[in-house]
Amino acid sequence: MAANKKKFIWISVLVILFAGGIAGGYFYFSKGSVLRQIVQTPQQPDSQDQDLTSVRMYYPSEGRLVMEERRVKKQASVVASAEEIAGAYLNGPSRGSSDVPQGARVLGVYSGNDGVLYIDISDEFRKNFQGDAMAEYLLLKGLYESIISNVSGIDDVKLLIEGKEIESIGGHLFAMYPLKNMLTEVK
Amino acid sequence: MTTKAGFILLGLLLLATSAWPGTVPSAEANKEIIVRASKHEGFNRVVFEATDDAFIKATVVTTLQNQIIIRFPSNVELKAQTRIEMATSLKNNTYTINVNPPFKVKVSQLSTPPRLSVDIIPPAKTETVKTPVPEGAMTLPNLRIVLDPGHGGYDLGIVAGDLREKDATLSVARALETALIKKGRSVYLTRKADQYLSLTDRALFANQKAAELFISIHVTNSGNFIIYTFPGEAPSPDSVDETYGMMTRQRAYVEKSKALAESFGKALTDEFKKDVELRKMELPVLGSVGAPAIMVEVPVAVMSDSVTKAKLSETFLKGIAAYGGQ
Repeated sequence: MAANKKKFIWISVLVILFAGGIAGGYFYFSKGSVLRQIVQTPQQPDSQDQDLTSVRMYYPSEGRLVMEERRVKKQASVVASAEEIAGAYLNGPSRGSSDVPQGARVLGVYSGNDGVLYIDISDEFRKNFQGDAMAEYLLLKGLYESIISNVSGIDDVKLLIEGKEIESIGGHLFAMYPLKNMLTEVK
Repeated sequence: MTTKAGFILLGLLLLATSAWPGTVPSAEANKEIIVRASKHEGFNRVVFEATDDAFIKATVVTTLQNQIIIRFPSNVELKAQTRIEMATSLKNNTYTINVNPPFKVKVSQLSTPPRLSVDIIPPAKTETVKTPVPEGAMTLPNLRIVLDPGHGGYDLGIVAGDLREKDATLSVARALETALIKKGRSVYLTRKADQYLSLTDRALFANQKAAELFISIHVTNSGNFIIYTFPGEAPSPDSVDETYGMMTRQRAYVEKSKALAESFGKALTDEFKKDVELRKMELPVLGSVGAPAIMVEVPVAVMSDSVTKAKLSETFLKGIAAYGGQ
């Protein structure tokens, strides 16, 4: 009877040890997978980086255009790329000040059959513009150059304000025609 | 029998319908007319050339106080071979030429090729007796001057403290207008109140008034005066001149505009002891004006100070006097 009792205790001890081993192994390996995840996290920016592309933006500042390299989302279509760049232009440069009117937003970008890209901008672009003839010239030239030098397959750029053609943004230059011929060199 | 009668009735109905005016679109196209304009000593000539004599003979020319109305016997399509340096419009068969009064008109109907010649003759200039000018006094040229106060209405222009560009430019233009009227000169303002006026309307106004000088007044954030003229280089085939055909009037006046800018530049430098930058830019309001034209940008600091601002009209007068209508 006493031998049976001893045997039962030994079997119980072995079962407990076996169960403890399984539990310990489970916790050990599950902890390991968390570590692997932590190790993998630095790879996430790499995958994001692959979705970005470098563009050259031209911002008007203190009587001239200042070039700035920016990283923007890579887009598949011409229209989406132009919208991304126009948005980056309206947000202004990452450093320093610029004469881009504050609060202006891209409302839409459309591609015409004539190679002209239509950029629809909110009224703040006109309303918040504060400048002389040269400032207006640089504002339009900066937008035009930023789009044309980064988006292929576009011949010209035309502005719309709140979906409509507008004669002028700042009362000096025409905005009702595509910009290329409106922005010849100033001497 | 009934079927036959039905067909006859249907035939008659179709005939009647086709004979009814307006039921069938007219196949008659607009008559093509070639228009040529030329400047001669003492008059401007506009010639309308058609393909048949009867058309020219049936054309009626009426002269109003400031318009010449040419009514053709049918709707026309005009093909301009040379540019007409006057404000014109065409509606159906009526062609209107706006002319600054007073003027006389001589109309001739000619053949081979059939054409109508309209000579617009301004009054002969009377000889003025020149009185000796006291030394140091200004001699203002006797020119029709159009002043263009920039911006207006919802277009405020530059706002700096209490200064609003639309108000400042109007105030300077009005002071200059008063000074010119005192000197007995013809002067017109594109706007006399706080109202929005498009760039196109400003140039149109200047051309309707047959401006002989056009001065657009603006403000700049720069510390110096800036005077703009329209660039005078020969346009490239795809330049704005060819593409839109609107910035062409200034082409004949680029040298005079440059001389006007230089005269203004010297007058402003002498008075304000500031640098004056002369720049060339394709500004629509200059490009569309058929007269010597400049845009003067006045620094905010000069506009904001009542003493310096008051000097502007006198300095502009000196600029006009120095230009002298070369």
